Amino acid sequence: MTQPQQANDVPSFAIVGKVNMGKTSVLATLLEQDDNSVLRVSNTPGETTHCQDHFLKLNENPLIRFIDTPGFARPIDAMLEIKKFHGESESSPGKAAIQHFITHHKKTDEFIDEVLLLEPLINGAGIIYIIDTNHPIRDSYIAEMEILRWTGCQRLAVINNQSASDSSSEWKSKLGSYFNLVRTFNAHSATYEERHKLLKSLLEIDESHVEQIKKTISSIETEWQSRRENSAEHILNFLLESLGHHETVSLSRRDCENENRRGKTIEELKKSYFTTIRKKQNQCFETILKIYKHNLIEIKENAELLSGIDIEAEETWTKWGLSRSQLTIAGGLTGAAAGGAIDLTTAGATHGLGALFGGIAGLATTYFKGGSLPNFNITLEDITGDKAHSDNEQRKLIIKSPENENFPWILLDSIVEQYHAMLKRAHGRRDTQQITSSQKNESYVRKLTVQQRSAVTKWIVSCKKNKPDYELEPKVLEAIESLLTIS
Amino acid sequence: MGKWTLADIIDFETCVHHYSDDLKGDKLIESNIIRPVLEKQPKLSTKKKKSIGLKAWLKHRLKDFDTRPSTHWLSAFSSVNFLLAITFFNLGFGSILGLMNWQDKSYNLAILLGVTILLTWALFLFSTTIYLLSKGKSHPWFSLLTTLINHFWKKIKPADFPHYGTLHSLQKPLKKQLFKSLQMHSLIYSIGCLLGIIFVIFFLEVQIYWEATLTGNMTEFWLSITNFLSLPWQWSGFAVPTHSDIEHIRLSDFSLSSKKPKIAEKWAYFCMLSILTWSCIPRLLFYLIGSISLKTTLATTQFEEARHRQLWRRLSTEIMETSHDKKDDSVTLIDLGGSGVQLETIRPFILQKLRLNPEQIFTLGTLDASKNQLTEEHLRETKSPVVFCCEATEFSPKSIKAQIDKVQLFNKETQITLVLLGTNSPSEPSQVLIDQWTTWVDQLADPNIHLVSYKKLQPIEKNTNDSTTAS
Repeated sequence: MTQPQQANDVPSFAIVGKVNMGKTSVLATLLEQDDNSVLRVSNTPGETTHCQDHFLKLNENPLIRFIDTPGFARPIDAMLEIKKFHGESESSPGKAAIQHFITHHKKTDEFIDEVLLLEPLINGAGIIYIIDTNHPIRDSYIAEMEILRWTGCQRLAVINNQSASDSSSEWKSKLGSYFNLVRTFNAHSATYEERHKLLKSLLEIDESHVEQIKKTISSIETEWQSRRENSAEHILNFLLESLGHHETVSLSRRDCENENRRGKTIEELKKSYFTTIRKKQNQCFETILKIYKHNLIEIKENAELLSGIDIEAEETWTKWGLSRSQLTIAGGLTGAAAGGAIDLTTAGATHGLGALFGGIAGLATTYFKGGSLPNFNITLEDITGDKAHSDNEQRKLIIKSPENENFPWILLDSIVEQYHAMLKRAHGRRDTQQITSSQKNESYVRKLTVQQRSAVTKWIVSCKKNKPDYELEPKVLEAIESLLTIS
Repeated sequence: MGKWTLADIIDFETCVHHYSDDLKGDKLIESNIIRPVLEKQPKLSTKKKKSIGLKAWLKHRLKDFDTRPSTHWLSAFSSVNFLLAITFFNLGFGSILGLMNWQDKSYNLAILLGVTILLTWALFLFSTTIYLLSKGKSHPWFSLLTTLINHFWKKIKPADFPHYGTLHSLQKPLKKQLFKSLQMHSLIYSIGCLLGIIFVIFFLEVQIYWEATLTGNMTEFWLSITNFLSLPWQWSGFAVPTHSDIEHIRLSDFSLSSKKPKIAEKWAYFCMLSILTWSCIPRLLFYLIGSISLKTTLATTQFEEARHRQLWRRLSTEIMETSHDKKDDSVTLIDLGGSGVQLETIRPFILQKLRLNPEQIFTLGTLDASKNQLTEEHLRETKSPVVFCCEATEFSPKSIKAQIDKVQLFNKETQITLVLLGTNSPSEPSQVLIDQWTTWVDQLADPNIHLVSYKKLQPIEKNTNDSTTAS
């Protein structure tokens, strides 16, 4: 890794503050780094033992440097010491006094932390001061802010309250007087929009690198969009594979003749089918987690349910996927399309009645079937000739995608919900989390426009016939992307 | 730049397949080649940028090939087209010669017009109907065609070329090309027929006749046929058969030995003009429509399939990543003598005072041989500094020196820090013990050995001169 020779080449920002204020957490969330071997985050004070440089790079070119620092250990004593180096003058100490302090105490063990964190500031780094305003204001905080003010660097205060509460007015007033800008950023729950806002704040405290910071922000925006497109692509592939998936089991002569045995086999087949679908969904979600650089979100492997959705429960089919009326309209549209094809092939002799009747049939079918429990598509076929492995094998059961029109929408809803749950997870957290479908108020897919639902429905129909309409893929991707951008 | 040909699409699909994993190479092409091209034209639409960008990518990737992958495809197409052209011309010309009754050098008008005009239109309408009816369905004849294509595809495709069934971007232009080629060969057939009829008219004295079992309205029937066929040139009055002309060539009315040159000439021109107008010219029009359709298809190729999207995403997305200048603060923490000190309790002290990060605690100098061995193996493998946690009351110089020597055996330069603990660790040792240890360590006179006594850490907020009110 090549590093710039001088701090001036790349805008640099030092993350400072008292020990255990969450400096490293803030940085971990900002840089999307949840690996403890890179950025150690814990409740133990002093995890950051030295200053560490972290570069945000674009195509291997460093754009911004963040410096994680150990944190103030003895701010009041350090402040008094700096004042001593400044002398009796009535003016406030400045960079010179701080430089003197650093030079002197580099040789001693007395102020190791202060020396480490002040050095980058003297070299021109901007200041990002992390504070938890749930703590009462103490002299030590005042001392920290004074020292930072003496550096003469542009300063941004970031309120990282580790428990939910509003900052006191006293804190707000104090921070307002010491810092150029004050922002709130919860390292354990910050979203992309909040990270984006914090990065934009850097523009206001580093005027000499405005273009470079703007470029960084623009690149992050483009990259975020690309991640969304990539995720949508994977979700589309998941749906494609799931809708075309089928499983087969051979039935022995005894199974064929015995209804109980046949029933048991069918139940096992259904279970196997859903297990496979669940695995596909998990694989899809794992890929999305990698895209978004999440390593601490776990996927529950042995869940009974399809990501928490109970396919057998009637509530599932009313709460998830499209609403009955939406399904009805979508079914009507595909029925009309099928009827329209009849009109075309009769060269208009049916005078559009094909489309009309097709639409009505589609409406009726979907209306009565749409809200019902999954109607499994199970067929029994004879095994003939060489395909039969023994005389005992007579027939085979084949299970395909359930005929219920809402099934694909439920799959889509499920993975989109997982996606949004993942977005809420900040990288600054170090606990592992299992994401399963939660109780949510409304289905995501119901927010699609009529045109989007229509395009997706047509594509679903083509996938179920094992002839995916590739020309519809861009529209389907667009619809999925719109689901991923819902806030 | 930006206009795609069929050859380009074949080459493109080959390269997309061949370079599907070369992210680094793609990024280099993007930054060195595509970006400069697109920066010169900032106002382009996204689709246009994509088309130009992918074309530039293709142009660069093709430099890795000695010959373009499409070359042997196109030469195969050309060879087949050439053979078919000869075949269809011979068919057309040969049909005219074959239809002639060589005994009296005569042509049955119905058969002549049927083969030269009706047959081609019937085939055209038939294949169009089949195409429309089977669109989107697996019609057995189209399945046969696809099977044939796949069969030859396997034989002639390069090793790294994807399966035809997955190449939707190629299927559309190939279908248009097929249509265009079929029209061309139909045109060649029609030209063959036309040249054939011209040949026999100018070099053989041929007669044309018609015959019918029914005597009824056949003349009227033929009059309507000839009127219809001669519509485009009826205005000139030239070569437009009349009622009497039709009657004259009825086989029952004249013997073929009775010739009337003027009427024969009229019928000859009529046949030539009919073939030209109703066979050649429409075929030429369809051929031109096919050409325009192919060009339009190529010009509007979207590249919206999954592998195209992935490629464009690789090319258009800049890679944001973070790099970390990590300072190694790892340490080998050893509980010397088995004081029972826990990692969670001693770690904060080690972090804050020694600026080292212990991730686990080892044991040495105990009766547990396996633990001792584990520690020694770790010391052999690692080069990190060592911290010995020693109970100050267990001051045994020879024993401790022996452990220090063990560490230095693996690496003489290892920094070793002795952390003195009180009993019931971690607790602070007494000053007397600290002094005792300090004297002994000083006597060792080894700059790599340090002594630190454990101190309980102050809560973070408490500092000297701190107060609750801001000063």
